[in-house]
Amino acid sequence: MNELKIVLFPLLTLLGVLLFAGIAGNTLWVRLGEVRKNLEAAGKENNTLGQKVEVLQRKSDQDTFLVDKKLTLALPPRSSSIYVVSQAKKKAADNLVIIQEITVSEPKVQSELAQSTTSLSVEGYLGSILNFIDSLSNVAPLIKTDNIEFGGGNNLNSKLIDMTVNLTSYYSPYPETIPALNQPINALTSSEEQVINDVSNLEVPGIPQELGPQSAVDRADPFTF
Amino acid sequence: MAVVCFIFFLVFGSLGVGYLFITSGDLTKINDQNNTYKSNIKSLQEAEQNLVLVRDRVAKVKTILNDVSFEEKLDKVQRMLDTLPSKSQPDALEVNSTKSKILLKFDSLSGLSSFLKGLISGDDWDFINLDTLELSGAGNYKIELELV
Repeated sequence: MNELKIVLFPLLTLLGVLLFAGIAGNTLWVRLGEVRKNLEAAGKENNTLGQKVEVLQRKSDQDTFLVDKKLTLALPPRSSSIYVVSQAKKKAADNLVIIQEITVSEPKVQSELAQSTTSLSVEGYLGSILNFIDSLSNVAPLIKTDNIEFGGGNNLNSKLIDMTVNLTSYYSPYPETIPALNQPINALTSSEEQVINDVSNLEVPGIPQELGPQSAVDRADPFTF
Repeated sequence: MAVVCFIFFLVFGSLGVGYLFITSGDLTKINDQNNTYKSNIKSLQEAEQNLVLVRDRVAKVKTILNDVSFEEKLDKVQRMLDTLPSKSQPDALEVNSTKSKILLKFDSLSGLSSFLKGLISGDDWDFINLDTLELSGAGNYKIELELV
Protein backbone atom coordinates (compact mmCIF):
# COMPACT_ATOMS: atom_id res chain seq x y z
CA MET A 1 0.00 0.00 0.00
CA ASN A 2 2.84 2.34 0.90
CA GLU A 3 4.60 1.50 -2.35
CA LEU A 4 1.44 2.35 -4.29
CA LYS A 5 1.25 5.68 -2.45
CA ILE A 6 4.86 6.42 -3.33
CA VAL A 7 4.14 5.79 -7.03
CA LEU A 8 0.71 7.49 -7.11
CA PHE A 9 1.72 10.79 -5.48
CA PRO A 10 4.25 11.93 -8.14
CA LEU A 11 2.08 10.48 -10.86
CA LEU A 12 -0.95 12.49 -9.72
CA THR A 13 1.23 15.56 -9.23
CA LEU A 14 2.59 15.20 -12.77
CA LEU A 15 -0.94 14.72 -14.12
CA GLY A 16 -2.10 17.81 -12.23
CA VAL A 17 0.79 19.87 -13.58
CA LEU A 18 0.13 18.59 -17.11
CA LEU A 19 -3.59 19.40 -16.76
CA PHE A 20 -2.80 22.88 -15.48
CA ALA A 21 -0.29 23.41 -18.27
CA GLY A 22 -2.82 22.23 -20.85
CA ILE A 23 -5.61 24.50 -19.59
CA ALA A 24 -3.26 27.47 -19.25
CA GLY A 25 -1.77 26.85 -22.70
CA ASN A 26 -5.21 26.52 -24.29
CA THR A 27 -6.48 29.70 -22.60
CA LEU A 28 -3.39 31.58 -23.73
CA TRP A 29 -3.80 30.26 -27.28
CA VAL A 30 -7.50 31.24 -27.44
CA ARG A 31 -6.77 34.70 -25.99
CA LEU A 32 -3.93 35.22 -28.46
CA GLY A 33 -6.25 34.24 -31.32
CA GLU A 34 -8.89 36.72 -30.15
CA VAL A 35 -6.40 39.55 -29.77
CA ARG A 36 -4.89 38.87 -33.20
CA LYS A 37 -8.38 38.80 -34.76
CA ASN A 38 -9.33 42.06 -33.03
CA LEU A 39 -6.03 43.59 -34.06
CA GLU A 40 -6.61 42.65 -37.69
CA ALA A 41 -10.16 44.08 -37.63
CA ALA A 42 -9.00 47.25 -35.87
CA GLY A 43 -6.18 47.62 -38.43
CA LYS A 44 -8.64 47.37 -41.32
CA GLU A 45 -10.97 49.87 -39.66
CA ASN A 46 -7.99 52.12 -39.01
CA ASN A 47 -7.12 52.14 -42.72
CA THR A 48 -10.72 52.84 -43.71
CA LEU A 49 -11.18 55.62 -41.16
CA GLY A 50 -7.79 57.18 -41.96
CA GLN A 51 -8.60 57.26 -45.67
CA LYS A 52 -12.08 58.62 -44.93
CA VAL A 53 -10.72 61.44 -42.77
CA GLU A 54 -8.20 62.31 -45.50
CA VAL A 55 -10.92 62.42 -48.21
CA LEU A 56 -13.28 64.46 -46.05
CA GLN A 57 -10.52 66.82 -44.95
CA ARG A 58 -9.62 67.46 -48.61
CA LYS A 59 -13.30 67.99 -49.47
CA SER A 60 -13.70 70.33 -46.50
CA ASP A 61 -10.68 72.39 -47.58
CA GLN A 62 -12.00 72.86 -51.13
CA ASP A 63 -14.31 75.76 -51.81
CA THR A 64 -16.85 73.96 -53.96
CA PHE A 65 -19.89 76.01 -53.10
CA LEU A 66 -20.44 77.33 -56.64
CA VAL A 67 -19.89 73.95 -58.29
CA ASP A 68 -22.21 72.24 -55.82
CA LYS A 69 -24.82 74.93 -56.47
CA LYS A 70 -24.52 74.37 -60.23
CA LEU A 71 -24.90 70.62 -59.73
CA THR A 72 -28.05 71.26 -57.73
CA LEU A 73 -29.33 73.60 -60.41
CA ALA A 74 -28.54 71.06 -63.12
CA LEU A 75 -30.58 68.47 -61.28
CA PRO A 76 -32.83 70.18 -58.72
CA PRO A 77 -34.51 68.36 -55.84
CA ARG A 78 -37.96 69.53 -56.91
CA SER A 79 -39.74 70.03 -60.23
CA SER A 80 -37.56 72.10 -62.53
CA SER A 81 -40.29 73.18 -64.97
CA ILE A 82 -40.15 76.84 -63.94
CA TYR A 83 -36.40 76.94 -64.67
CA VAL A 84 -36.97 75.14 -67.97
CA VAL A 85 -39.54 77.73 -69.06
CA SER A 86 -37.19 80.53 -67.99
CA GLN A 87 -34.26 79.08 -69.94
CA ALA A 88 -36.41 78.29 -72.99
CA LYS A 89 -37.70 81.88 -73.10
CA LYS A 90 -34.18 83.27 -72.77
CA LYS A 91 -32.73 81.00 -75.44
CA ALA A 92 -35.68 81.64 -77.76
CA ALA A 93 -35.07 85.38 -77.49
CA ASP A 94 -31.33 84.88 -78.12
CA ASN A 95 -32.06 82.91 -81.31
CA LEU A 96 -34.93 85.10 -82.59
CA VAL A 97 -37.54 82.43 -82.06
CA ILE A 98 -41.03 83.24 -80.83
CA ILE A 99 -42.62 80.96 -78.27
CA GLN A 100 -46.34 80.89 -78.94
CA GLU A 101 -47.46 78.34 -76.41
CA ILE A 102 -46.00 76.51 -73.44
CA THR A 103 -47.55 73.44 -71.87
CA VAL A 104 -46.05 71.84 -68.79
CA SER A 105 -47.27 68.35 -67.98
CA GLU A 106 -47.46 66.66 -64.58
CA PRO A 107 -44.13 65.13 -63.54
CA LYS A 108 -43.62 61.40 -63.96
CA VAL A 109 -41.67 59.74 -61.18
CA GLN A 110 -39.51 56.95 -62.59
CA SER A 111 -37.21 55.30 -60.06
CA GLU A 112 -34.94 57.97 -58.58
CA LEU A 113 -35.25 60.41 -61.48
CA ALA A 114 -38.52 62.24 -61.92
CA GLN A 115 -39.28 63.73 -65.34
CA SER A 116 -41.35 66.70 -66.44
CA THR A 117 -42.36 67.28 -70.04
CA THR A 118 -42.58 70.79 -71.40
CA SER A 119 -44.15 71.25 -74.78
CA LEU A 120 -43.33 74.38 -76.73
CA SER A 121 -44.99 75.72 -79.83
CA VAL A 122 -42.44 77.97 -81.51
CA GLU A 123 -42.28 80.12 -84.60
CA GLY A 124 -39.18 81.16 -86.50
CA TYR A 125 -36.81 80.25 -89.30
CA LEU A 126 -35.84 76.60 -89.40
CA GLY A 127 -32.14 77.32 -88.82
CA SER A 128 -32.95 79.58 -85.85
CA ILE A 129 -35.22 76.99 -84.30
CA LEU A 130 -32.62 74.26 -84.71
CA ASN A 131 -30.01 76.54 -83.12
CA PHE A 132 -32.46 77.25 -80.31
CA ILE A 133 -32.94 73.52 -79.68
CA ASP A 134 -29.20 72.98 -79.80
CA SER A 135 -28.59 75.79 -77.29
CA LEU A 136 -30.91 74.11 -74.77
CA SER A 137 -28.34 71.36 -74.28
CA ASN A 138 -25.98 73.88 -72.63
CA VAL A 139 -28.25 75.13 -69.87
CA ALA A 140 -29.08 74.16 -66.32
CA PRO A 141 -31.36 72.46 -65.41
CA LEU A 142 -30.54 69.65 -67.80
CA ILE A 143 -33.02 69.58 -70.67
CA LYS A 144 -33.36 66.81 -73.21
CA THR A 145 -35.29 67.27 -76.42
CA ASP A 146 -37.64 64.34 -76.97
CA ASN A 147 -38.89 65.19 -80.39
CA ILE A 148 -39.54 68.04 -82.78
CA GLU A 149 -42.21 68.23 -85.39
CA PHE A 150 -43.46 70.64 -87.98
CA GLY A 151 -45.37 70.33 -91.17
CA GLY A 152 -48.65 71.21 -92.79
CA GLY A 153 -50.25 74.58 -92.36
CA ASN A 154 -46.93 76.42 -92.51
CA ASN A 155 -46.66 79.49 -94.64
CA LEU A 156 -44.03 78.26 -97.08
CA ASN A 157 -43.63 81.58 -98.85
CA SER A 158 -42.44 83.40 -95.73
CA LYS A 159 -40.06 80.57 -94.74
CA LEU A 160 -41.24 81.00 -91.16
CA ILE A 161 -42.33 77.76 -89.64
CA ASP A 162 -44.34 76.67 -86.61
CA MET A 163 -42.70 73.82 -84.79
CA THR A 164 -43.67 71.74 -81.78
CA VAL A 165 -40.76 70.95 -79.48
CA ASN A 166 -41.15 68.50 -76.62
CA LEU A 167 -38.59 68.84 -73.85
CA THR A 168 -37.91 66.63 -70.87
CA SER A 169 -36.41 68.02 -67.68
CA TYR A 170 -35.44 66.08 -64.60
CA TYR A 171 -35.41 66.40 -60.85
CA SER A 172 -34.48 64.14 -58.01
CA PRO A 173 -34.82 64.48 -54.22
CA TYR A 174 -31.64 64.73 -52.20
CA PRO A 175 -30.25 61.55 -50.61
CA GLU A 176 -31.49 61.16 -47.05
CA THR A 177 -28.83 58.95 -45.53
CA ILE A 178 -25.08 59.16 -45.22
CA PRO A 179 -22.83 56.07 -45.01
CA ALA A 180 -22.12 54.50 -41.61
CA LEU A 181 -19.18 55.93 -39.69
CA ASN A 182 -16.85 53.03 -40.49
CA GLN A 183 -17.99 52.62 -44.08
CA PRO A 184 -15.34 53.64 -46.61
CA ILE A 185 -15.82 56.73 -48.74
CA ASN A 186 -13.78 57.42 -51.84
CA ALA A 187 -12.74 60.67 -53.41
CA LEU A 188 -14.42 61.60 -56.69
CA THR A 189 -13.14 59.65 -59.68
CA SER A 190 -11.83 61.36 -62.80
CA SER A 191 -15.05 60.56 -64.70
CA GLU A 192 -17.08 62.13 -61.88
CA GLU A 193 -14.79 65.18 -61.96
CA GLN A 194 -15.39 65.35 -65.71
CA VAL A 195 -19.16 65.42 -65.15
CA ILE A 196 -18.69 68.23 -62.61
CA ASN A 197 -16.61 70.15 -65.16
CA ASP A 198 -19.30 69.66 -67.80
CA VAL A 199 -21.98 70.84 -65.41
CA SER A 200 -20.00 73.86 -64.26
CA ASN A 201 -19.98 75.09 -67.88
CA LEU A 202 -23.77 75.07 -68.06
CA GLU A 203 -25.62 78.36 -68.16
CA VAL A 204 -27.62 78.78 -64.96
CA PRO A 205 -31.13 80.24 -64.96
CA GLY A 206 -31.71 83.85 -63.94
CA ILE A 207 -34.40 82.87 -61.50
CA PRO A 208 -35.16 82.57 -58.68
CA GLN A 209 -33.86 85.89 -57.53
CA GLU A 210 -32.38 86.04 -54.07
CA LEU A 211 -35.13 87.21 -51.75
CA GLY A 212 -33.24 88.10 -48.62
CA PRO A 213 -34.99 89.76 -45.69
CA GLN A 214 -35.29 93.52 -45.79
CA SER A 215 -32.77 95.22 -43.56
CA ALA A 216 -34.13 96.70 -40.34
CA VAL A 217 -34.98 100.39 -40.35
CA ASP A 218 -34.62 102.32 -37.12
CA ARG A 219 -37.74 104.23 -36.21
CA ALA A 220 -37.95 106.71 -33.39
CA ASP A 221 -41.44 105.55 -32.50
CA PRO A 222 -41.93 101.85 -33.36
CA PHE A 223 -45.73 102.30 -33.31
CA THR A 224 -45.75 104.97 -36.00
CA PHE A 225 -44.81 104.25 -39.63
CA MET B 1 11.93 14.62 -18.24
CA ALA B 2 9.32 16.36 -16.11
CA VAL B 3 11.75 19.19 -15.39
CA VAL B 4 12.47 19.63 -19.12
CA CYS B 5 8.75 19.73 -19.84
CA PHE B 6 8.19 22.24 -17.09
CA ILE B 7 11.02 24.49 -18.34
CA PHE B 8 9.62 24.17 -21.86
CA PHE B 9 6.20 25.19 -20.56
CA LEU B 10 7.61 28.11 -18.63
CA VAL B 11 9.64 29.42 -21.59
CA PHE B 12 6.82 29.18 -24.14
CA GLY B 13 4.25 30.34 -21.60
CA SER B 14 6.32 33.45 -20.86
CA LEU B 15 6.82 34.13 -24.57
CA GLY B 16 3.06 33.75 -25.18
CA VAL B 17 2.17 36.06 -22.31
CA GLY B 18 4.75 38.62 -23.52
CA TYR B 19 3.36 38.47 -27.06
CA LEU B 20 -0.18 38.81 -25.69
CA PHE B 21 0.86 41.83 -23.66
CA ILE B 22 2.52 43.58 -26.65
CA THR B 23 -0.37 42.76 -29.02
CA SER B 24 -2.94 44.03 -26.51
CA GLY B 25 -0.97 47.27 -26.25
CA ASP B 26 -0.99 47.63 -30.04
CA LEU B 27 -4.72 46.93 -30.11
CA THR B 28 -5.37 49.62 -27.51
CA LYS B 29 -3.28 52.12 -29.50
CA ILE B 30 -5.13 51.35 -32.75
CA ASN B 31 -8.50 51.53 -31.01
CA ASP B 32 -7.56 54.92 -29.55
CA GLN B 33 -6.52 56.15 -33.00
CA ASN B 34 -9.79 54.82 -34.46
CA ASN B 35 -11.76 56.71 -31.83
CA THR B 36 -9.86 59.90 -32.75
CA TYR B 37 -10.64 59.28 -36.44
CA LYS B 38 -14.31 58.74 -35.61
CA SER B 39 -14.55 62.02 -33.73
CA ASN B 40 -12.78 63.73 -36.68
CA ILE B 41 -15.28 62.22 -39.09
CA LYS B 42 -18.14 63.45 -36.92
CA SER B 43 -16.69 66.95 -37.01
CA LEU B 44 -16.38 66.68 -40.83
CA GLN B 45 -19.98 65.55 -41.21
CA GLU B 46 -20.87 68.59 -43.31
CA ALA B 47 -18.16 67.70 -45.83
CA GLU B 48 -19.40 64.11 -45.84
CA GLN B 49 -22.99 65.19 -46.50
CA ASN B 50 -21.70 67.44 -49.25
CA LEU B 51 -19.69 64.62 -50.83
CA VAL B 52 -22.65 62.25 -50.67
CA LEU B 53 -24.87 64.89 -52.28
CA VAL B 54 -22.32 65.64 -55.02
CA ARG B 55 -21.82 61.95 -55.75
CA ASP B 56 -25.59 61.38 -55.90
CA ARG B 57 -26.10 64.34 -58.28
CA VAL B 58 -23.11 63.36 -60.43
CA ALA B 59 -24.34 59.76 -60.84
CA LYS B 60 -27.78 60.94 -61.92
CA VAL B 61 -26.46 63.73 -64.14
CA LYS B 62 -24.19 61.16 -65.78
CA THR B 63 -27.22 58.99 -66.57
CA ILE B 64 -28.96 61.94 -68.21
CA LEU B 65 -25.90 63.15 -70.12
CA ASN B 66 -25.11 59.67 -71.44
CA ASP B 67 -28.40 59.62 -73.32
CA VAL B 68 -27.38 61.65 -76.36
CA SER B 69 -29.54 59.89 -78.94
CA PHE B 70 -31.61 62.95 -79.85
CA GLU B 71 -28.67 65.35 -80.05
CA GLU B 72 -26.90 62.98 -82.43
CA LYS B 73 -30.04 62.72 -84.58
CA LEU B 74 -30.45 66.49 -84.65
CA ASP B 75 -26.80 66.97 -85.68
CA LYS B 76 -27.30 64.52 -88.53
CA VAL B 77 -30.49 66.29 -89.64
CA GLN B 78 -28.71 69.66 -89.53
CA ARG B 79 -25.83 68.27 -91.62
CA MET B 80 -28.32 66.89 -94.10
CA LEU B 81 -30.20 70.21 -94.32
CA ASP B 82 -26.91 71.98 -95.03
CA THR B 83 -26.54 69.91 -98.21
CA LEU B 84 -29.91 71.02 -99.59
CA PRO B 85 -29.93 73.28 -102.65
CA SER B 86 -30.35 76.94 -101.68
CA LYS B 87 -34.02 77.20 -102.70
CA SER B 88 -35.06 73.98 -101.02
CA GLN B 89 -36.46 73.78 -97.55
CA PRO B 90 -38.24 70.96 -95.75
CA ASP B 91 -42.02 71.14 -95.93
CA ALA B 92 -42.32 68.86 -92.91
CA LEU B 93 -39.89 67.47 -90.39
CA GLU B 94 -40.21 65.10 -87.50
CA VAL B 95 -37.22 64.07 -85.40
CA ASN B 96 -37.24 61.82 -82.38
CA SER B 97 -34.66 59.58 -80.79
CA THR B 98 -35.55 56.56 -82.93
CA LYS B 99 -36.19 57.95 -86.40
CA SER B 100 -36.49 61.10 -88.48
CA LYS B 101 -39.03 61.87 -91.17
CA ILE B 102 -38.59 64.69 -93.63
CA LEU B 103 -40.63 65.99 -96.54
CA LEU B 104 -38.56 67.91 -99.08
CA LYS B 105 -39.41 69.83 -102.22
CA PHE B 106 -36.98 70.37 -105.12
CA ASP B 107 -37.50 72.55 -108.13
CA SER B 108 -35.12 70.59 -110.33
CA LEU B 109 -34.34 66.96 -110.92
CA SER B 110 -30.60 67.66 -110.81
CA GLY B 111 -30.92 69.20 -107.33
CA LEU B 112 -32.90 66.20 -106.13
CA SER B 113 -30.44 63.80 -107.71
CA SER B 114 -27.32 65.41 -106.21
CA PHE B 115 -28.97 65.62 -102.77
CA LEU B 116 -29.91 61.92 -102.81
CA LYS B 117 -26.45 60.93 -104.05
CA GLY B 118 -24.83 62.85 -101.21
CA LEU B 119 -27.25 61.39 -98.69
CA ILE B 120 -26.64 57.80 -99.79
CA SER B 121 -22.86 58.15 -100.02
CA GLY B 122 -22.67 59.63 -96.48
CA ASP B 123 -22.49 57.32 -93.48
CA ASP B 124 -24.74 59.29 -91.12
CA TRP B 125 -27.78 57.07 -91.54
CA ASP B 126 -28.08 53.32 -91.12
CA PHE B 127 -31.34 53.13 -92.97
CA ILE B 128 -32.81 55.50 -95.58
CA ASN B 129 -36.30 54.81 -96.81
CA LEU B 130 -37.84 56.78 -99.65
CA ASP B 131 -41.51 56.80 -98.62
CA THR B 132 -42.90 58.87 -101.47
CA LEU B 133 -41.66 60.55 -104.63
CA GLU B 134 -44.11 62.92 -106.27
CA LEU B 135 -43.87 65.09 -109.34
CA SER B 136 -46.29 68.00 -109.23
CA GLY B 137 -47.52 69.86 -112.30
CA ALA B 138 -45.33 72.92 -111.71
CA GLY B 139 -42.11 70.92 -112.16
CA ASN B 140 -41.59 70.41 -108.46
CA TYR B 141 -40.37 67.15 -107.01
CA LYS B 142 -41.53 66.16 -103.54
CA ILE B 143 -39.90 63.36 -101.61
CA GLU B 144 -40.60 61.98 -98.18
CA LEU B 145 -37.73 60.21 -96.45
CA GLU B 146 -37.58 58.10 -93.34
CA LEU B 147 -34.11 58.08 -91.80
CA VAL B 148 -32.88 55.83 -89.02
